[in-house]
Amino acid sequence: MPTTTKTLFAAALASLLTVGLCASALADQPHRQYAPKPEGGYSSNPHVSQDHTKTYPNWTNRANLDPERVMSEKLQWTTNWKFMDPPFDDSLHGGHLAMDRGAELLAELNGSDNRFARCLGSRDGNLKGLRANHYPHFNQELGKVVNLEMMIEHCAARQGVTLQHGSYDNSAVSVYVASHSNGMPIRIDVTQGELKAAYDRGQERFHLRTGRMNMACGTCHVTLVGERLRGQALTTHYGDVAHWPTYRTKDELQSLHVRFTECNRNGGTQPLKPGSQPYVDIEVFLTALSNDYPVAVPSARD
Amino acid sequence: MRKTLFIALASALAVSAVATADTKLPDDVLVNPDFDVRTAWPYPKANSGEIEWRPHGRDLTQWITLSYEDKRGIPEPATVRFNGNVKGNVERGREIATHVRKGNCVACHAIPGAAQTGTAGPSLEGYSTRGVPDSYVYQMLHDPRALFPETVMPAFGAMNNLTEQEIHDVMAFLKTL
Repeated sequence: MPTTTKTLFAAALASLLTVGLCASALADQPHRQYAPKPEGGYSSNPHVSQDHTKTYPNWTNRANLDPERVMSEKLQWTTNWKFMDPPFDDSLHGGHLAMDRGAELLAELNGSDNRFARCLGSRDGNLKGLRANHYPHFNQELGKVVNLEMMIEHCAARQGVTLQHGSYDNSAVSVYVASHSNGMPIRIDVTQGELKAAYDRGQERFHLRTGRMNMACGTCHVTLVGERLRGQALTTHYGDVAHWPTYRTKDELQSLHVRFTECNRNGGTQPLKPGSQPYVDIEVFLTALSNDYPVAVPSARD
Repeated sequence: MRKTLFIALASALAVSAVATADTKLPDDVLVNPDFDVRTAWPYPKANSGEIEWRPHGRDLTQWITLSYEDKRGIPEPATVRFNGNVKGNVERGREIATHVRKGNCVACHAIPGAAQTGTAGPSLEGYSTRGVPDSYVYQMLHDPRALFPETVMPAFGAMNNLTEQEIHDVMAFLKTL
């Protein structure tokens, strides 16, 4: 084989491997494009400090966020700015109202025997740690990986109550449950079993380019991180899940999956239903990238 | 037991107003066939356990999604040839370049006179003075991947975002910058 052909062949093979395509499936697979992963890829046992933008030192402790950096047009993105995250900002906002409503709804659903909390995975009705290290997980009974909002919907439905995943009341309960994990480090194990499979799938979905603009999640959060798109600064995806559900200042309480539908629409991709497998997988992927980062609710952001 | 719960969950999801009538689309895409624009999004109206489904500003169902059931692909990068003259309308071109549901060039590029611009692509200020040939601009708008395989810039022509006429309109607008 001439050297140039060899090089071309090697390059083609390498790019195929990069995108995770199996060479034997070449012939009948539709053409797909992937956004490049960060240099060095992702760890099989991820931790928030592995942040690919190397900005983690700026936002390790939100109480110590540098206000000047936060206000700087150029450097704001390096603070992974979620501008009203506690304890950086504890001003009163719509997230607090949601948390209060969540407390009321949960008390009603709990009855006198903590049945709702127990359905969510609490042993004795105590909600501490559920958000930080119990979700997402593989649910044996349902036979699939579930997140907190899916289980809130499921456990409410058992009592004949409708709390659709993505609805205000579902997210309100989620914020309230999460508040019992405030300050606790997120920790899920994606090194084995169903969560590992979900983590790997989520990583692949995160970098798949889709929609009319041919954009992946990774286009914004890896390739273009630090740039601005339509005026918005693009930040790292490490550490991000800690403050969801969040109150958006356009007066909308959003769960993570509702946010995904907005990300998709902004990028020109037909969104999926909250709770769909790709969204759950991306949530597992992002949660693992927040390992050891503390839960912070109720939060608010633009 | 497991089956019963699963059915309960499935029927809980089925009561939502969102259904996929089009069998060609994956089951998990958010569309409402009753909407003029089928692409839907979930609005979490305050103090309610139900989502209010709202239509998006543009039907996005013709392009691939994140669904695992979605077996569609995208066109391979293609070289196009530009013949003749730019037959476009400057004002329409400006509208396409700055409108979020159309070309949305401003999302990435600074454009004089436009608000909320981006920095992901080079500024287009003074673009007409850079001596860029029409054939190059046409290729970039139709399918920039033919020149830059890893570019983040969308293939506006090849991926059916803009019509031939709209591409000409944007080219005419670029000549005024």
